[in-house]
Amino acid sequence: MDALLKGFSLVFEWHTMLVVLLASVFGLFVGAIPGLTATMAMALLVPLTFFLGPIPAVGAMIACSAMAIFAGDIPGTLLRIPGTPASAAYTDESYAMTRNGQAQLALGANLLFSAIGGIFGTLVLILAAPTLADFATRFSSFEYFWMAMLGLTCAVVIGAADMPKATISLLIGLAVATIGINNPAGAPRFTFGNLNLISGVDFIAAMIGFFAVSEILRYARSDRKVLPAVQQELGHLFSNCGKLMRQYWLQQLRGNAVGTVIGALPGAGADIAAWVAYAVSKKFSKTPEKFGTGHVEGVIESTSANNAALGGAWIPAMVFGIPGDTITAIVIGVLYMKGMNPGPSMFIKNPENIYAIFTLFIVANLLLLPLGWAAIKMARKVLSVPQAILMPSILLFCIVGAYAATNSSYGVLLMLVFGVLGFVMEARGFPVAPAILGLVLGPMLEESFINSMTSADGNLIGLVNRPVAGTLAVLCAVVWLVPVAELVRGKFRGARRVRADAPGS
Amino acid sequence: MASGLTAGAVGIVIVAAAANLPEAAGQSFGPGFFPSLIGKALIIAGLVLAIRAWRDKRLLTGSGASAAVGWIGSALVVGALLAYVLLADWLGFHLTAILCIAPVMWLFTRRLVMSIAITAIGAVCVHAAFYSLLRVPLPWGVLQPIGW
Repeated sequence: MDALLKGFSLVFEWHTMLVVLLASVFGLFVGAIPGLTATMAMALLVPLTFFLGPIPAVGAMIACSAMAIFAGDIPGTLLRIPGTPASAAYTDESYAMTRNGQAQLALGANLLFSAIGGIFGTLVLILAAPTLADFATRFSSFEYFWMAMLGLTCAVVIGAADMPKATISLLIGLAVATIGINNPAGAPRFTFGNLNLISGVDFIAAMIGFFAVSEILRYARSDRKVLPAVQQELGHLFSNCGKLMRQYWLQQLRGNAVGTVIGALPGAGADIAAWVAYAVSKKFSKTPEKFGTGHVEGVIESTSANNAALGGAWIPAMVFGIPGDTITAIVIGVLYMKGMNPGPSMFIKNPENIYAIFTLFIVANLLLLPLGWAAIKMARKVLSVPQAILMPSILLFCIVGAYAATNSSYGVLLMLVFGVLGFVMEARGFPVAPAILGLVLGPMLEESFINSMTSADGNLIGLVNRPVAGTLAVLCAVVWLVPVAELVRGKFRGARRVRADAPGS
Repeated sequence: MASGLTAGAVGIVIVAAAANLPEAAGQSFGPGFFPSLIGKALIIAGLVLAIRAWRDKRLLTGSGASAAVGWIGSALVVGALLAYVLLADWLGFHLTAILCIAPVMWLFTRRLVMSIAITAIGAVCVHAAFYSLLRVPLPWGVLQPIGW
């Protein structure tokens, strides 16, 4: 109880609230601009979190991601260009609503159900995380090895459309993570005698490269069309929402649940949650023929799912230090930087931080309603910001951010290398998310393996002859069997193709 | 196919480099163990990809070769960042930023004066925020005499 109050007092003070508010506005803006993703918003935010306390830093990231995922719906609905990949699943549907003159209904539903989905994901996080953390206190290196394995397995099998490419992407991330002296033996690896590389690849510079510079490179390579102007006049947004909530309560609940579960799976985030929820909605709908013609049902289910996924992704991130998606991968990097190392000990040693995080989630999703409303009202102005000026300005900001990460031009060089890597990977159809998970989980995987082998005297059987470790190992094997089973049935291939064609996050 | 072969080649390099890492005394899993595993996996995955691409190619000819003109923009962005890395410590943040970002903005907008003006204002603002407020040691370079 004491910790709960302490958590509240950490959140409800003017400094934290101001940071949350500013990060929200930033998230809404970045999310609403097509070509700038929610993950990019997070990567750009990281250099600024250097200069914040731990709780404001975490609050900024929570608020920014929630706002950006919602804001992606705005250009999707009005211009048929998703603002973030997480909105891509239902962009055609909500744009069809706009063409039918229902833009305000679509946007009102997007906003309301995004906020509800976000709160649902948060509630699951609040209920599940402490219980899991309690369980995880008994984990040793054996269990952590398999948790990391499971995370990486999910990233390749569930999150990606193309397994060999996802595997290579993962291996690239793992390989990059081995650079430097941070390994169980303390031996410098792949440093080429370079002093900067001794401490390993700077995570922040790499993230800015991967998610911001690669996006600018893509824009530079495109035909750089000017966005079409928004035509619609928007009236009262929430006028029909009460009716929608009663009529589609089941879809909404199902979207929330699907989103949270997919979010919690490592490697699969908000974008995949939305695709799956949309497919589920169509499959169980009484009127599947209406899908694609501007029917609000699928929009409700999938817009709920992508925001619910955000809270879900924090469950493995907080409890095990295993990111549920690329956004939480960045969050974990920041948590380490702030000395709030994720894991069960965080729940025991600093419960007030946990309560503060929960509170921040609720606050962010409640703030989404008024701020999102304002963003929709200002959509015309926001979407008329010329990208030709915005993109180079972001590049300037990237340079400073990467420089701040290492306090030298080395950070900028690192950012450039990873920007080009991310750009080439995307252009060649390699998903980026597995690489990020590899980068984050690589050290954990190696350390837990070496520690386990040391205590088991190099006997590989030792990895599986503890009950929990054995169960996790079986779980890994089962996940590996999924693609095999799919190959045999050849059933989900169509759905996977659709996802493969969509832009990745 | 090129991606698969590249991945495989990187794998071979990693395996070779890992073999040169020192052995840990009295342990079967030294610092080279994990990287060599990654390298081997990369070789396998790269081969799978290359074989698949080769097989698909016979069914499906003609890949989407992209026009060279589209690459100019990307090349300019890469060049700008490289130039920043090379010049920043000598020229200082302000001048390097203008030198690197303004051409990119010009390419996107085709308006030279506006590009230089916006970049210059941006550089001063960003510098003020990060150098003065957040204490990031952005270099002054040749502007050191007027720096603070």
